Amino acid sequence: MASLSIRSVSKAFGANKVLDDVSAEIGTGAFVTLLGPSGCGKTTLLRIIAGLVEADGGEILMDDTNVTRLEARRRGIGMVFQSHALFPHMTVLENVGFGLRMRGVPRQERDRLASEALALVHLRDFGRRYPQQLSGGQQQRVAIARAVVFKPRVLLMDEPFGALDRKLREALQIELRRMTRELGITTIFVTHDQGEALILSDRIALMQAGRLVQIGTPAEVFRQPQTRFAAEFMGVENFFAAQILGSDADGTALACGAARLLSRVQAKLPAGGGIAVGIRAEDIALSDDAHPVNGTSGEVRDVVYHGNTWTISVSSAMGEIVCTTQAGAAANPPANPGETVQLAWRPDAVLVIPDP
Amino acid sequence: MQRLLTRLAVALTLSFILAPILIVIATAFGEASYVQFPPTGLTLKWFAAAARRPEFQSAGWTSLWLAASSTAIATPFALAAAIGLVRGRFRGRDAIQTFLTSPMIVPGIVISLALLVTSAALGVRSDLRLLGAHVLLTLPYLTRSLIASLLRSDTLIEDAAYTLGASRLQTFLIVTLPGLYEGLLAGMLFALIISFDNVSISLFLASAKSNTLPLAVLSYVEFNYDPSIAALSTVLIVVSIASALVLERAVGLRAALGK
Ligand SMILES: Nc1ncnc2c1ncn2[C@@H]1O[C@H](COP(=O)(O)OP(=O)(O)OP(=O)(O)O)[C@@H](O)[C@H]1O
Ligand SMILES: [Mg+2]
Repeated sequence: MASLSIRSVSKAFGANKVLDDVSAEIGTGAFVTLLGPSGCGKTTLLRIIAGLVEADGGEILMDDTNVTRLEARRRGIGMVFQSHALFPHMTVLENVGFGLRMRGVPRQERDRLASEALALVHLRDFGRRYPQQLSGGQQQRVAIARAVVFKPRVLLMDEPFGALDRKLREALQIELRRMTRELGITTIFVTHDQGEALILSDRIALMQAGRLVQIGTPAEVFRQPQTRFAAEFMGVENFFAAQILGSDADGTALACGAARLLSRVQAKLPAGGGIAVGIRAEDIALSDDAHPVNGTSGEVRDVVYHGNTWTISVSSAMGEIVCTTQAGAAANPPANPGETVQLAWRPDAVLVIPDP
Repeated sequence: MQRLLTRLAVALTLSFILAPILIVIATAFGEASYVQFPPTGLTLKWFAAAARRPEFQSAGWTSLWLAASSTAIATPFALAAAIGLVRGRFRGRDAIQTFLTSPMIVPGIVISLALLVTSAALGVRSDLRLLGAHVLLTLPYLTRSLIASLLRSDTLIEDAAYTLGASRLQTFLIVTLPGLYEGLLAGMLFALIISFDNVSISLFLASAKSNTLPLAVLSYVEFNYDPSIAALSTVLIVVSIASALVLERAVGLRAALGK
């Protein structure tokens, strides 16, 4: 229930620059996911926000109050650690009630609230157990209950669903989304999983090597990745170097070697500029049309079956192209290696990436 | 064949270690008025004789008091030192750690002499100097054991406690300390045994009033050679084994040795 401002935060461990001028404004009650590869500084950023690590430079503000020098315990931030960090010699109920105990909530009230929080993560009957007597996924859920039970102003979650199977994960995603919305808790949620990020977030922040490379709504980040890294992280497989021929309200005309492409995206860039073009594999289809608006032809190199889909690699004049097609009920591959095929894609599938 | 040889080797090694102890125990029950092996007859009179001797009584109390109070004094220091050494980040940490555990390595006789000279120069009372020396003696065992359990404990649970609103003191008392219980218990038991068993330091620093049990035994056997000494030793052996068992039961010897 507080807004959060991260202003020019940097941090180095020795010579290793882990965070480099990270800034973000997160509104009250917003749900932001932090998405990035391993080692890019996600945990470090959370620890700085929580007050467990001191930044080398920059400021953290909560509701416009500077908390950069405030002790962790006074920030009222709930944190779910990547490794759960449950207290091993306390029962599950005592673990969950710890934050309330530190706030002087009397025993009975504490136990009642802790039980409620446990019910929220589907662990109502586990209060008497010790953490070692739980599975990894159950421990993770206890850690979540412990971090939310005292209604923190800001909730930081470091890959809290890592050890869960898909069904439970999806159930808890919905539960978490509902809970943070209801309570209006400002949340930063770290994940490796772009699918999870798209489902949960109001906004997605993409991080690469200690820098925030893009922050935007799920649709923005999915449809308009600003860098090649962002595009790759959001699941774009095909990239081509391209030149802008012209841009108007309808879209952008591009030259990609000898091929001509049309994109629906309006490039806010001058003609003649070199950019990159990205196309998702699932947006490319095998076509019967010999001259589609967007497309190319090439020789099939490889065909791989994935159950629901086929992945086809095609060697074309534009370069190597990967496309996936729905498999349907037919067991036959849609194309065979050595065959020449025509590929086509719609103009709105062509993503213009200003920073290749 | 191979297995047989292994077992034989184990049996020989064990008997090499255990035989002298078993012989001492056996002689404690002999009728003869000198230490005799194999013993003849069966009696408990030497236990009674040992218990009646005033020099053993007072020395026994001195030793117990010394072991208990030196451990009690050393424990908080060892705890503070271990926390500083494991959690702290400062220059010379390794050097201080080595220095703190040095009484385990430096020959007891050297330490004893050094303490004797120093305490004489400072004019320290003899019972206090003995206590001080035993604190010094037990400190490294406690520190080492606590360092081992602190290294095993997870610093993230402390971080979790901070984010949940706990102060540093609360975190230490409620979150960290319960995890150190094993190391603390092991270290304290070791400290008690080390102090109780020590000869060299006590030899230099004890006065006639503050004679310890090992010293009393030493001076007794200079002039007497009756089985009351064996009886006393038997009691000490039983107590040692009992504490080892308690330790094993409570925490496992492996943890106790800081492995
Ligand atoms: N206490 C520390 N001392 C030294 N280096 C550290 C420390 N903590 C983190 N690092 C380094 O900082 C970098 C970022 O670490 P961080 O834990 O923030 O990554 P992450 O994005 O959370 O990765 P993951 O997804 O694997 O959890 C890494 O190179 C790591 O080795
Ligand atoms: Mg991490």
